[in-house]
This record gives sequence, C-alpha cells and structure tokens, in this order.
Amino acid sequence: MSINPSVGLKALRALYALVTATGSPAPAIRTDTTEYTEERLPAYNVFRAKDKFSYEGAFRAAGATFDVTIRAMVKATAQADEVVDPLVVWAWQQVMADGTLGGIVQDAKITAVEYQYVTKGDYDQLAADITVEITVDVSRSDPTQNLTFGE
Amino acid sequence: MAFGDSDLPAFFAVMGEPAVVNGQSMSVFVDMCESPWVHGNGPGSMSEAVTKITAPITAFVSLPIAGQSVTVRGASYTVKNRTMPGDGRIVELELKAQ
Repeated sequence: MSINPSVGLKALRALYALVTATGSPAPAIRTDTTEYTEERLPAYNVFRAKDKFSYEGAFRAAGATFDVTIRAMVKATAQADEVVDPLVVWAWQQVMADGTLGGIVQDAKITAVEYQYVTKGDYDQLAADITVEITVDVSRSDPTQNLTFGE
Repeated sequence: MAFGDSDLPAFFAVMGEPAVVNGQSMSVFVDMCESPWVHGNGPGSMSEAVTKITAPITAFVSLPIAGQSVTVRGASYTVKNRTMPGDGRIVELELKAQ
C-alpha cells in the first residue's frame, strides 16, 4: 500500500517550483543538507521549518499552518545585502503573485526575512532566511486530504 | 641552542613566502583554511575559505589595520582582522578578497 503525500509536502513542492521557475537569479535545491562553500553561491535552499495545527473550525478539519524557509545565500566583497536583495525580491514576487501556490492552499505569504552575516573568511557571506507561512485546512484524520480545495 | 624571539625574522625569511602588506615587502606564512559555519535552524551549513598570513611583529614598520592592501600568491586582498596571539610577537592577518 502506498501512502499519499501530505498536503504540507505538496505545498512545499509547489513553492519550490515557483522559486526555480525560469528567470530565477540563483540555482535552488530543496532540503539540501550538504555544505555550501563560496563556490556554490549564490544559491537557494528551500526546506520545511515547522508545521502547526489548530482545531477551531469545522469538526472534521484541522487548520494547518506550514512554515517553509527559503534560504537565499550569497557572497560579496562588500555590501552583501545589495547582492542578496534580488534573490529576496524574486522569492517575494513568486510567492505573493498568486498566494495560493497554484490553487492548492488557502494562503501563502512571506512573514519574515532574517539576515545572518558571516564575518570570517575571504568574502562577506550572507544568508537571508525568508519565512513563508502557508495556511490550509486538512482532514483531522488524514493529512493528505485538502479540505480547503477539496482534493 | 635555544630558539627565541630574535630568531623569528630569520625563521620567516627561510620558511615564508613573499607578500606586500600596505606597500611593505616581507616574508610571511600563508594559511588557506576553511571555516565551517553552521547556520541557525534548518539543514545544511555555509563554509568559506579563510586566507590568513602570519609574520613577526618586527617585520612591520607600523601595525597593519583593517582595510589596508595585501598582495600574496598573486592575489589582492585587504586586511579583514588582525590578531596577535600569545605574547604578541607574531601578527596574524585574516584577509578579504578583492
């Protein structure tokens, strides 16, 4: 018996597809655990951060909130924030243009961008963690069932 | 025969390689290591090359400061950080690519 993918995983796949669409300013990998050396930059790493659920709506539903991180990483000899800005802008435009990830979630929106600077090394390296909050109703008894769009 | 601070210039002259620091020629040790940096939450990490030169303090007319130019192994850098470990007879300079 095969187990269908959860709504959260489908949402992550859809989000990743948006980041890697034609025109992306940097290559992207999903849930990459390998080390990013300066030769690999700029780059995106897209991964799940946290799933949260509430039970305040319809009896059968669980209100799901999936936090996904789009990590944009760059190097520069000066002003790394200038270099990372196009990557943040691209992610913002891709996620917020639709807001439903192609009609599979109730809402997908960027709620925070956290900038972390690396001070050691030959280059200034910067990682901008873009938090995307995805909300959708799923079945209490089956996280593969999308109740928002009735898949 | 004891090896002391007074032997450092000769030691670096033999073992070091040429560099120009803020317009001043000298013989330095070059370290090119990698500094792993584990990012906060989530998978993966970032790692970057750290180029560092070491020279005796007597090699410098004046102590280098951040932003001054360095040329070594045919590449141009600026001084990023300066440290003087131990008794301060040796100066370590972390470099930044240009």
